[in-house]
Amino acid sequence: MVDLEAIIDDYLHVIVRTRPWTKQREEELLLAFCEWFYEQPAASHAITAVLPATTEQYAQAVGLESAEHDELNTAFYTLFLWAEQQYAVPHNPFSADLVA
Amino acid sequence: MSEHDSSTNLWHQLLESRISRRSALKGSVAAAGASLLPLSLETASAAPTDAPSAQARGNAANTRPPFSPIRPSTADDLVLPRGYRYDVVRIYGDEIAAGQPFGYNADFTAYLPIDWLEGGQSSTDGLLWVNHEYPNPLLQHGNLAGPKTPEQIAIERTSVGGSVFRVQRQRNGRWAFVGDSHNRRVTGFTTCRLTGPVAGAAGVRGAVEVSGSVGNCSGGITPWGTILSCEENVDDYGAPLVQGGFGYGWDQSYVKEHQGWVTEVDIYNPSSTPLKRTAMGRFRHENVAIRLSANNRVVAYMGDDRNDSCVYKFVSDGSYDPKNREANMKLLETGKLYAADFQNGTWLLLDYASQNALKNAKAANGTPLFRDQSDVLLNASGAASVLRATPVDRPEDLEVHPLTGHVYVALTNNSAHGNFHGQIVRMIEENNNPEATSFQWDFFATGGPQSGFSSPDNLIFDPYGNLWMVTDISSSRTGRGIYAFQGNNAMFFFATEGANAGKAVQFASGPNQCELTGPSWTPDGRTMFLSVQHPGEESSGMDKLTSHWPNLGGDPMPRPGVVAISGFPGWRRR
Repeated sequence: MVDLEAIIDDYLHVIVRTRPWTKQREEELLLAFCEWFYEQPAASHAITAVLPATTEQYAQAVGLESAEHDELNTAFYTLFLWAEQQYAVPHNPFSADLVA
Repeated sequence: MSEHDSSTNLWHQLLESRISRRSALKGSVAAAGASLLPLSLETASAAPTDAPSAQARGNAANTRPPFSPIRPSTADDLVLPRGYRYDVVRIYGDEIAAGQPFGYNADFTAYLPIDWLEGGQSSTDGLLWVNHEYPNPLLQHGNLAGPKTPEQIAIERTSVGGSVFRVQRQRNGRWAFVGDSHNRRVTGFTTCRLTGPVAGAAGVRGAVEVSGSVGNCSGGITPWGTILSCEENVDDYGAPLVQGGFGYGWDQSYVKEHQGWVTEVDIYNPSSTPLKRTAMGRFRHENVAIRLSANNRVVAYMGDDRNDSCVYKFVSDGSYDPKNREANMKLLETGKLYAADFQNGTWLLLDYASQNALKNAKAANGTPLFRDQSDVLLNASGAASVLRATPVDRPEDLEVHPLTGHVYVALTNNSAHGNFHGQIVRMIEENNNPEATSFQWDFFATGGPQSGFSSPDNLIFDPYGNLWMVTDISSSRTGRGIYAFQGNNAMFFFATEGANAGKAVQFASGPNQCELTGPSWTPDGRTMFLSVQHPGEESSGMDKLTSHWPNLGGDPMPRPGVVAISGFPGWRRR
C-alpha cells in the first residue's frame, strides 16, 4: 500500500512536465485535502482509502464550494489514472463520474 | 517486491545515525534523536575531509570563490556577481542547421574543443552539446485539452533530444553561435540503435533500431570525447491526454522501453547514429559521472532520479585505450551494473546468472519478475529493490572529485518523507578503487535555511576540487514558505577542502520558475555554459506568463536556452 502523500508528490513531478499550467492549482487542491485527510483517525492513509465519499466528507467538513469539489474530484480522477499505471492501484474510484 | 516498501525509511535512519554520530564526535549536543524527521540540520555540518593530498594542499589558495557572493533574488533574470556577464547563445526556436531549430527545455551542456581529436584544447572554438528534456504544450503550441494534431505532436517531438552546434568566443569576448557542418539535432524522431544485452530482446519487442531519444536530462562526457545523454522521464509520451490526462498523448504506438537509457552521441561525426547503452540499465537516468580505474576500465556512476530510488555504478568489461577511439566506442556495450547498499556500504551486482534472488523473484501474479539479464536491465530499479539496495532521497547528479576520486551525490529532496531541502553526500570507494565492491559514505552538505540552499541538483567540479551546484526547488514554491530564504533557483559554490568546506556561497540566481541546469566549463575555465530551463514553467495561460526571460527584442514569451557566462579568472596551469 502506498501512502497518499508519496503518490501525490510523484504525480506532481509528472504533471509539472506534461501539464504545468494546471499543476499549481492541482497541488493546492490535493495538498489541502491531504492536510485534512491526515488529521482524520484512520487505519490507513494509503491512496486506496480515498474515495468519492471521502472527498464529499472533506467538502462538507471544510465548506468547499461545489465547483472546487468538482475540481478536486477531477484531480483525483487523473491521479488515479496515473497511479493505475504506476502503482497497480486496483481501479479508479473517480471514473464513474467522468466520461473517459 | 514493491519498490516503496518499508525499507524506504531505512535511508532516513541511516541519515539520522550519521548526524548523531558526528555530533557525538564533535562533542556537541546530539541531534534530536527522538524524531527522525525533519533532520537535525543544524548539526549536519560539512563532513570532515580526509587528509588532503599534496596536490590538494597546494591548491588550498584556490578554494576561495572567485567572486563576491550575491544575495538570494526573485528577479526575473539571470543574476550574476559583479564582473560577470552572460551571452544568450541559443534559445528555443533559434536555428541550429537548415530547418533544424534549437529544442525546448535546455538541460545538460558539454563543451568539447573543435580541435580535440587532433589533440587540441581550444577554449575559444568548440562544439556545444545541449540536452532538451521535455516540451511545454502551452508555451509551444497552446493546445491544452487535446487530442493533439500531428503537427502539434511533431512540434513537441522535434523539440526534445539534443542539439550540437559550433560556438566561438569573439574578439570582443562575447560568445556566438556558428553555422557549421557539425551542427545537427537529435530528436524524438531520430533513428537510434540499442546496443548491449537488451538489443533485440523480447522486452523491447525485438527492436534493435528505435525511434528517438527523449527525456534528455543531464549526461556526461566519455574520455574518448563522446556525449552521454541521459533519458530520464520517458513514461508519459504515449499516455492518454483524455480528460486532461497526465501524459503528452503523442502516439499509442510509442514504446517506452525504447527510451530510458544512456545514449552515446559522437558529436564529431555528424552522420553517426546515437547508440543506446543498455548494459548501463534502464531507469530514470539523471547523469553519468565517469572515472577510469587503475586497469583503465570505465566506471560510470549514475542515479535514478525519483523519490526512494537507488544509486548505481557500471564497470566496463573492456579497458580504455587513449590511442584507439574506435575501440573505445564499444566499451559501454558490456559490463557489470551495481546498485548501492548504503546500510552495509556495498555494491550489489545486478546479474541474473549469479544472483538467485533475481532468478527467484516473482511479480504480484506469481510469474517470474525477470526471465534473463535483459529483463534485469530493463527493470534495473526492480532488480535493485529485490537485492535490497538502499532507496535514497531522489539521487539527481553524481560527480567525481578530480583530486580525491570521491563521488559526490546530490540528493535533491523527498518531501513525502519530510526531507524538504536535500543533502549532498560523498561516497568513498574502498582503497579509492572505483572497481571496489564496498565503500564508505558521509555528508558533505545539508540544505536548509542554516546553509542557504535547498534541493541540490546538478553538480560540477572545477580542477581545484571546488564544487559548483545548481538547485531544483519546485517552480510553484520558489521564494515562498519554507523556501523563501533562497528566492529563485540558484547556483552555489562550495570549497571541498579547508575551513570553509561544505559552506554554500551563492554565485547566481535564475529567472522566475526556472531551474539553472547543466553547467560546463571551457578547458581554460574562463567560460561556463549554463542552461536556463523552463522559465515561466507554471504559467497558467498566455495572459498569465510568470516569466519573460530572456526578453530579447521585447519578446514577452519565456524561452528556455543556453548562456555563456564570462568573467571567471580561469585556471592556472600547474
